[in-house]
Amino acid sequence: MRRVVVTGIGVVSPIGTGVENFFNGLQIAQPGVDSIRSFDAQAFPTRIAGEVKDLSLDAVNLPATHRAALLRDRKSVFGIVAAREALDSAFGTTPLLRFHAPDRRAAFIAAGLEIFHLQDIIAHLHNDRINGQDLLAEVMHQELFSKLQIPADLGARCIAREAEIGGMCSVNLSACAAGTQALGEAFLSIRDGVADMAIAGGYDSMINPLGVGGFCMLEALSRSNHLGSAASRPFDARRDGFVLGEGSGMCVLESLDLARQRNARCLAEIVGYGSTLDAYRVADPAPDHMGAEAAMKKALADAKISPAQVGYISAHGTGTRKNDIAETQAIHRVFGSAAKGIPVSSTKSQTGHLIGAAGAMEFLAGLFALQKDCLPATINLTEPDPQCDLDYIPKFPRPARISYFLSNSFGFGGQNATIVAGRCQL
Amino acid sequence: MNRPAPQSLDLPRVCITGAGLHCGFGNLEQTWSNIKLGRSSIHSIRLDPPIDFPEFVGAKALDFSLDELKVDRKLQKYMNRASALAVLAAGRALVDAQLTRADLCADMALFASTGLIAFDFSEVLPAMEVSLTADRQMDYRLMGEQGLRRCHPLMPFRMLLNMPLGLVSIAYGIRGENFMLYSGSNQGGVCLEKAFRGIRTKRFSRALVGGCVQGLSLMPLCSWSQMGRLAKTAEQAIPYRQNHQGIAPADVGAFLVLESEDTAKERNARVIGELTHVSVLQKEGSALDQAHHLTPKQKPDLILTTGNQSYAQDQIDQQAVESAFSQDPPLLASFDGQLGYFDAAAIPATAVLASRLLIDHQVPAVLDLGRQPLPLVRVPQQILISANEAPTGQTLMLLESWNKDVA
Repeated sequence: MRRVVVTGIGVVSPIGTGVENFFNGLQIAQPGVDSIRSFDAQAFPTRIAGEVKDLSLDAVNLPATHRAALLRDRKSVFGIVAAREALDSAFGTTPLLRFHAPDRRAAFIAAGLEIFHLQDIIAHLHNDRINGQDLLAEVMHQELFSKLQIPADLGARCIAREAEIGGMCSVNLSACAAGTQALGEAFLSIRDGVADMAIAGGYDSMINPLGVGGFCMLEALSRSNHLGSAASRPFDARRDGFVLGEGSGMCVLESLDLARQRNARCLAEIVGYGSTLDAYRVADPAPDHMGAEAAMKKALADAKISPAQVGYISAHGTGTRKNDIAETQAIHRVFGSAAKGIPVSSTKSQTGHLIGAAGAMEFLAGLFALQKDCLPATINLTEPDPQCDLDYIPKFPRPARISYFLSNSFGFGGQNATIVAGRCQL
Repeated sequence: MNRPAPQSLDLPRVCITGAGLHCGFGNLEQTWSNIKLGRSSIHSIRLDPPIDFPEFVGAKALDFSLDELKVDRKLQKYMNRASALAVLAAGRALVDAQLTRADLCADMALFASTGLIAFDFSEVLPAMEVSLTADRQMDYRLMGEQGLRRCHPLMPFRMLLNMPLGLVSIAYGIRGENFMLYSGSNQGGVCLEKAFRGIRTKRFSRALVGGCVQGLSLMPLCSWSQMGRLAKTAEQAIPYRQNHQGIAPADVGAFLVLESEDTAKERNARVIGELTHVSVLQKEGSALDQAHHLTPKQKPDLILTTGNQSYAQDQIDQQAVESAFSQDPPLLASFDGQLGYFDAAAIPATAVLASRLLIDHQVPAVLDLGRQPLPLVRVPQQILISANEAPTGQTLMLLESWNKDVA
């Protein structure tokens, strides 16, 4: 089987845009959560989120044909910016054609929900009915997708076009598990010989009235607005839900042989991937944790490494009461007596929960650990929950040299995904 | 072209052991009977209140009830129409494969694709109305204070696009490898390619794979209109006719059960057919351009296409067929003209119907492109499925007959 390495990365996050800023944010335990500024959320039960603060969307060079639509959909722009950074860091200014034929290039991209703007409908809402005739007439005079609905894959299509993808292009919508699944499928496609190179990762932003409102209705979000940046506190005894975040994480994956041929810098090697379903409930993890446990075991078996070789776990760690306990117990079952000796952290404490982009962002946190010999912290963890009894690297990052890390993502609908990566052994 | 895993003698064969469908004519048997009679499920449609939308042509799924499969009624409340169609078709595929819940172990994978959001605006209208200022602007403070409380509590679940997959998993106890993909016929192709490759590389031995689309809703219709892709009449929606211009959007759920030969043998499964090739690309032109890469043994008797939106595209397909199969080109046809366009579920749905054709051995009337009965020249042994997704998505898939029961 072919080996698969990461040769480029890019990121847009609430703690910094660009890999250098993101890594720096992890290094200094910078919080990314604050009061929501992108719309008036003052009357919402949750008024905090991890918004991207250092990227001016207007200044991004966007494809002319879809510029109007893209500017209405932040997440797509995040994806494009992160993908460009990943491709630049992997290939520089050399045309991709020099390295990989188009039909050997693939894209595996996780995206968030479609956006539509309620204001677009208001003008056509009369007496409890939407005047679809007038709405359609208005839509037909607009640029494509610049009114009403922006497809969730618009950003992915733009990325695929820029990377001149001629092979498979996959747009994954598995919510919280999507980013890890996208990376895992990219890994498998190269390992299986279907592709030689892939751009893989995710982008998302649900920080809008419907997104925030919807999660508020589920009572899934933290309502500790008074805590501001301290509200996202996975594994803490006083946690009361997750905090939304936004951004994008993207990676360039290549077969090791081809990366070597062109003397590419190898940032990490992906060695295993596991994906399962709980088949239990829509919003709650299964009480037996078998799905999460099975995903981790599958990934480790796929990687052909023992649990003892894992030096760090980038947890799903949302900050909800049930998930954090379920994940802790699943880790215990996978790692047994060694569990308490493996550092675990959730960077959602800094960035919030990026939903479709979470898995990719947390994979990049694992890359940070490999690259900087430093494990990211679970900031805001001040009072550990007795039911969450692992080493969660509270408050500050910790210097450590590891060989392998594991990254978990467990999503709505019971989708679980785990990916394992380590240092490139050339 | 995607190269499959290196050939070796011990690569498992990928068997089709179950198929499930629900669309304008109803289930697979109903649909197949109507197709053979040359009927079309495309007709004029008006959207239900509270949306007043101009009349258009499409194919609405026949009324159905998940009680048919004894799906928990509490679970049904989480479902929008696309999710319900997925659960229905997936369940029918499992029944067709004679797989019980006890059979569905952790090794069963699940891959599905869905289309443009089909949001039910009746879910948010109460919240919107109470959130308007006197001059009809959205006031998000009003929405936060009053509007959210007026939404149905399960509305968020009906918005999440990965719910069809999660709900199929919960309904039938499926726990294996999985993903949910979005939009466009190519995503259905990616799902099938993954299932095919996963079985061949022995990552898993069994997969449930398909798609679901609710195409008849305000937002997809506005998008299709904006792209100029809607057919104005049912006649215009028929591929390979000179006046072919546009698609007729449709509702559908379509799923296949795929198993390795050994797994099928172990339980004496009825094998409907075999999947022997799947490739997915992003290229302009026709997916049938890839047919040059098929081996001489893989020459199809019949080509079923889906996704063409104009006669010009049809002609590109025809030229590709003539180029790839200069000696005795196979018959080229499509179910889109009778059933509508199934978007992200188009390839699974066409595969479901093709699998029916493999065991029925009768050529449906539609395949003559003029709705006249066509004398059967030979029993189709190999059916090539080709899907073009504008602007550049291409999928090519080969289904072959399995002439005997595996046991």
